[in-house]
Amino acid sequence: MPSLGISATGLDAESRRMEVIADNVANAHSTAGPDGKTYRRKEVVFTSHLENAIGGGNRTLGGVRVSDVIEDPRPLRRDYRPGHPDADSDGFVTMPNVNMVEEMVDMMSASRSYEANLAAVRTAKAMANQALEILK
Amino acid sequence: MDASVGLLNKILDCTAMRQKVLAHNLANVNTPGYKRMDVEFRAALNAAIENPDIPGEKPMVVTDTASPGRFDGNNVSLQKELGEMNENALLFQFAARAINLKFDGLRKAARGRS
Repeated sequence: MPSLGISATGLDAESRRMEVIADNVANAHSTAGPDGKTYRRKEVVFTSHLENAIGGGNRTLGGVRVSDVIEDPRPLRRDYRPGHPDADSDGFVTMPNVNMVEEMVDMMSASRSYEANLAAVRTAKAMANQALEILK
Repeated sequence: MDASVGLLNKILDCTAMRQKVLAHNLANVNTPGYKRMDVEFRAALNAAIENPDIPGEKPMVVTDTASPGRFDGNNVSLQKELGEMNENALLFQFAARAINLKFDGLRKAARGRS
């Protein structure tokens, strides 16, 4: 895979991560989803990827891939809200296990990593342009 | 062709390959357990200096396990990769410009005027 392609997989993966973080933040107070259950925090799983070179046994670099989006198994929070329609008989509502601070830190990390991949794109582009200069 | 063009060519090849590997490291900055890779091309360049005419050794991709890792087993550092990438791009730029100069000279010689 060319250098630009590798950086593109990085940009892709980081923006997917950003989507999942946005979903977590948006659903930080969703007590019932489409299946009627409380929302659980989601997380992306990144795996490094190697692809087979055409016709050869040796593997070339293939960037990164989002292999899975998993649900956070940590326990859900329980808040006392007797007036809430989703409250149980004791008046407790099960709240999502989303921690805002954690999401913000994750978001910063995603945005910085995205920028780093962009910098790699810029460098690769500059190098290609300099190589083209040889033709002049 | 002139030996220096062959050598500069080799530098372009090696730095382009290293750019690829460094981009791969940056793409995997958040992959748990990933170990950074780098390209070792000193030996390949030395061989090219000794014998410019034969293809010689190829640059090698090595996995770097010596750099300290994070708690998730990943040892990619953003600033290190970006620094290396800038340095590598400079080397590429140098080789590209040097080849340009070389060809400029040839062109002038062929035309018989400056």
